[in-house]
Amino acid sequence: MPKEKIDGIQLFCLMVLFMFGTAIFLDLGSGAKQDAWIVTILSPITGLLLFAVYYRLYKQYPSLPLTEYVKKILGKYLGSIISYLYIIYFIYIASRVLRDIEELLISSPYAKTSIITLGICMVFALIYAVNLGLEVFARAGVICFAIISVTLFLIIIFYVISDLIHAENLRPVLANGWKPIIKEIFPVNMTVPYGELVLFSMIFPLIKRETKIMKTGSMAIGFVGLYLTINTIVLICILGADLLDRSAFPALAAVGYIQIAGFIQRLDPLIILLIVFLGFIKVGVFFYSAVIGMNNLFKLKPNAFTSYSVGGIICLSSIIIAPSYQSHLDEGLKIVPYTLHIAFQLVIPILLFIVAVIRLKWKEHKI
Amino acid sequence: MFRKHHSHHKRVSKSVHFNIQYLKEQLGDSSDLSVRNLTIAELGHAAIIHIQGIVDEQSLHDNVLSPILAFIHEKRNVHSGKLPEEITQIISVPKIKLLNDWPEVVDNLLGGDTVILIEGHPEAIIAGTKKIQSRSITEPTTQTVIKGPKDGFTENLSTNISLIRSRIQNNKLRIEQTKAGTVTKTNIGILYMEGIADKDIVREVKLRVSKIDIDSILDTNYVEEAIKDNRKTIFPLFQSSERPDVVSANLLEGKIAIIIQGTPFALILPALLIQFFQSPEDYYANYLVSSFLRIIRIGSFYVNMYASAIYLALITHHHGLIPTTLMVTLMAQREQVPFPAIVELLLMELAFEVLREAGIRMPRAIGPAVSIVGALILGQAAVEAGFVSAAIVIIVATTAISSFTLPNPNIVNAARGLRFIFIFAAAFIGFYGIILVSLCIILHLCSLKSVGVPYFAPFSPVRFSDLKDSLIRMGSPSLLKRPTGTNRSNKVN
Amino acid sequence: MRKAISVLLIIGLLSGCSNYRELNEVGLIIAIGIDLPEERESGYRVTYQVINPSYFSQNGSGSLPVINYTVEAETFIEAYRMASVIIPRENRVTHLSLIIIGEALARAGMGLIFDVFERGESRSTFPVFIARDSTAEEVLGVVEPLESNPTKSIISTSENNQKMYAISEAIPIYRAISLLSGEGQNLMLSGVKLSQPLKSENQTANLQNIKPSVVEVSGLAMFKKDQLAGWFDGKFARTAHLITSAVESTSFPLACKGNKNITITTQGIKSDIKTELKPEPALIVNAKIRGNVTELECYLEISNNEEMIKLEKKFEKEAENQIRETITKAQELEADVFGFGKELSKDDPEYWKRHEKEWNTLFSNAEIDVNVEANISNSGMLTDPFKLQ
Repeated sequence: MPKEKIDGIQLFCLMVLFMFGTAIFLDLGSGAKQDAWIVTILSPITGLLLFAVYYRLYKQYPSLPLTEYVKKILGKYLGSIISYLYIIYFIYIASRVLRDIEELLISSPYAKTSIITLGICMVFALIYAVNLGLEVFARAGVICFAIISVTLFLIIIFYVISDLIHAENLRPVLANGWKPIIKEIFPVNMTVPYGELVLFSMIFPLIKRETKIMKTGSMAIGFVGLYLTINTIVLICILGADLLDRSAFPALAAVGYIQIAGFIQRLDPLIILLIVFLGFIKVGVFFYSAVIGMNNLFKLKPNAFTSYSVGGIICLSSIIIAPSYQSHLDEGLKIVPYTLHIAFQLVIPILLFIVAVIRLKWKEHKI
Repeated sequence: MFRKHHSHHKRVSKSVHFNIQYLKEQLGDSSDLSVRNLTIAELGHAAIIHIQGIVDEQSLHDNVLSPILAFIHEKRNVHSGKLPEEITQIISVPKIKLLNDWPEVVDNLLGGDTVILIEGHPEAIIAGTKKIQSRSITEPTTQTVIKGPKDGFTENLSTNISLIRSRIQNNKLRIEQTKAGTVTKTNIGILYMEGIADKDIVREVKLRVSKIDIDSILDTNYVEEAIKDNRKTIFPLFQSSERPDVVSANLLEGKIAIIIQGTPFALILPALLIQFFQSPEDYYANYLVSSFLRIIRIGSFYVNMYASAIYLALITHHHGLIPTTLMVTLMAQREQVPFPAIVELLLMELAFEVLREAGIRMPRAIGPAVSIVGALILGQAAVEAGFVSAAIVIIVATTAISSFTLPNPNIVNAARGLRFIFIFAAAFIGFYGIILVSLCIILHLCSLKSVGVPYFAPFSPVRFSDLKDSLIRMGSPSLLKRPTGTNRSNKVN
Repeated sequence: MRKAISVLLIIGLLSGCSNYRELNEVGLIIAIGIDLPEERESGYRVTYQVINPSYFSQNGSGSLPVINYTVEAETFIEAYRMASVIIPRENRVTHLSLIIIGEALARAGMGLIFDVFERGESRSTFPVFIARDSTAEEVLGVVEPLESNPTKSIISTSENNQKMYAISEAIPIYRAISLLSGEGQNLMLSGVKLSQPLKSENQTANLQNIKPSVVEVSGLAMFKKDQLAGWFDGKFARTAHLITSAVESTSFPLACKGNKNITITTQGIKSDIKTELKPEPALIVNAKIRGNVTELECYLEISNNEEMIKLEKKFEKEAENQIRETITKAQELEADVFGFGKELSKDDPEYWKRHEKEWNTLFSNAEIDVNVEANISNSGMLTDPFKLQ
């Protein structure tokens, strides 16, 4: 029986979970202090523009993933190189996200566990998932979406009940003007999580024909933007801009403060649940894209070997990628967004788009 | 059909004597083979053959022997060439046929029919004198309900079909019979509603049933295992039920039922995971109450799978999550226990599994005594002696009780198996392990299909209209539509 | 099958590096007391209060519920590790629920000692107290009869007082950290001490005494940066909490005739603080207090509305005076413990940036403007009191 393709709801859930990814644990836009929420409310707009570019590209070659139509646009050799680079990029980002998860877990509930143990367990589960195929992954995504929405909602309710929200922390608004906000949006908050949607160029061909991808995608981006804004506002209200900037995982710190009637406290299991589910989906999608990219590029038949080897690489590189969490974070904030992200999320897709349009025009002209 | 040309088939010979010899040889001179020789006037020698015990003696006497003897007595003048036709006219059983193919004759003889052979005719007359050996219809022992129909299937195929016919008096009810099992040649009935059931699924099921290639079929599970989509799964992919009302309700939703001679369980397919949490009583009681009970059942399923693993994760990995007062109590309890927590838990879990098995195998009268000795005396003594902590006994007992709320034994078995996986994951790496295994199970469930229908529907893929009868059951007006996915036309007339 | 076995093997190899600890291998630290060292020049003297689980098991009577271990070391973490010299089990701070700091250490400056609690695996919602006029070691060393262990008795005494009178407020450590690190507000921590020195060395003797030595909350410590600068006592401590809206309920006696009093029990207190620039900063407190008359020692016709309004005015004046006095006390120490500076920094970030450095002097010279709006209602079941005939 043929595999069932991904439908609209599944795509929505997958995109939302993907973008939530590690974003809800990080201190998004904290450079803008108490105005961080303005950053998170504006960055989806840039995200939407990027997504539109990826979508237009896909429209030109509706049955091919990114790594394949690159070859159509740029020719066999240059295209192969670019698609090879993309595969490496996917693997690299997957290892970064995996490292984020490992560090999150180490930071409180698993202080005495080695990160390689955590990584290997996750990668085993991921290999199982990747071998089942993305269609199954997307279907499971719907369930994960439901579980995660309920969890996030509960946590916000708990914040409110335990009287942690101090709205005065949001003042003063725009004390330092627009400059830090713009600086935060471009490029860090544009690329993570929105720019990473470039990955969905690998997934579009697996989606049912009749799905309105652009509409679903915009809804997902809007939803994520909205939630991240609420999340940031809540975190600023609880922690204050100062602590938000200082702590590595503000969400973790804030959840630690929850205490209701001496009974509901220590919500670490909820946090572990969020970390594992979201991390799993995010790494999984990157992992899967790298695997199909590799199978296409090297003309391999779909087999378990590719997934095992890619899984091994992700697991290993998540550990050797950086000697310490601090340097991992520095790379993530100061190097990767300016070099890799801009290149792969912005420059290459736009160039591809321009070339593709010119080719099309040229072809029409010839006919 | 095609195969028959190749295999050698003996035909019934003209000589009665030879035929009897041949039959005896085939059945190994079995002692329950009864042969009665007759001489029909000048027309010649004849024999009436049956197997004792499986024929209806009354019917054999009244409908076969008496007419033939009367016929001999009358000594009617009959042309000897027409004798078999004449005899078929006078025998008054409802089923009668003429056969000349030995294997078929033997099959019928073994099925309880009577064979009549006549000298000079290479044909056997088969008279249907099959005794319907069956217990009476009793209340089902599984899936019991407080309110609702109380009849259950029996081991007899035709009784079972009649129970369904009496519920669905509609000409669209299709019953197709085939045989499977190369040795047992068991009768199998495939039931579905024409026009409601999806044609493709019906075709697929028939195809799979026709491909069954095993020696024997003694229960539904033989068929289930032979036609399952995915054999490497712990989850039951088809539902089995002893209740004609459940089977009828499912047929009316567009599902297909497989009924097998010799077992009171019918197989319903395709099945969705959520069906295993639905009791027939849900539909016989107020929907608010049913919804509440259904949530309780699903809750106990989770308790059954997760309780012991979560306890283990808490006391071995996540001490910080236990409230301080409880932590102090637990520490005090564990102070004297000689085993590591995982060993302690596994010991108790296994002890419980042993008790459960013992309770089932024991003669009915001793069963309760076993549970009293096991649960009360052993548990109490173990705690007092300091072998195990009281908390573990509480956890294992909770787990055990929660498994009894589920209406379907197959899903309980699945939860049982998964429980041990969770325990090991928890012992290894705490909540992280439990959550990762849960994720894998979600993925596994999403990949499962029952005769091509996604097993985890209506949750994923999401079918909003079917969610009304999933975790909860809404009132009847909102259940006007049939569930999607397993049927074609969607409006109840 | 081969796959499954290899997965199991790999996972089995990893099982060494995990968090797995049996319950009977850990020692549960529930409170930590920090003092200045006695035997060395610098560093800390740290007292760990560890739960004794066998006290709670069925055959454990005769022992005490907790054991205190005291260690001196150069740094805090070193002390934690050094504790293994005397603590027989792997100590865990996951259930840490109290920190006590000796007054001497607090006066010398606490520095960054809280930082370690934010980094570790302990939670950050447990409270911090100052051991007034004594050491943390002493305060943690008394088992009193009503509660099962000293930690619990300190926390519950403080919580109870917060509900009934509000001298004490349990400040969770994360709040203490954010006050120490934030600008425009100084830290206030509640004090605890022993009601009387322990008479004998024997703890069980204390348990059998009808008037045992117990923990009592005492005063509110004001900090300048990380150094203890002075104490609010009794009424002032309560009023300080009134200014920061940390009071649930408290009582105000108002003089009526001679040395007789009318007592008002307050119900909801909401106060707003603000700093206005006119052009020098002025400290403004607007408080709304609801209260009931709960005790009358002199006759007052409280069913009469006019009398009630008079009483309200009197109450407002009394409360205003108390608030003024309390703020003045803080001004004397130049310790802005109420957060006037923080309010200013939000309302006028420009001004704050310019005057941040000199805020302490600005604060101590600022005018005080207090405005209390009292509302006395529902004086219980009775209307007028009985008359002495």
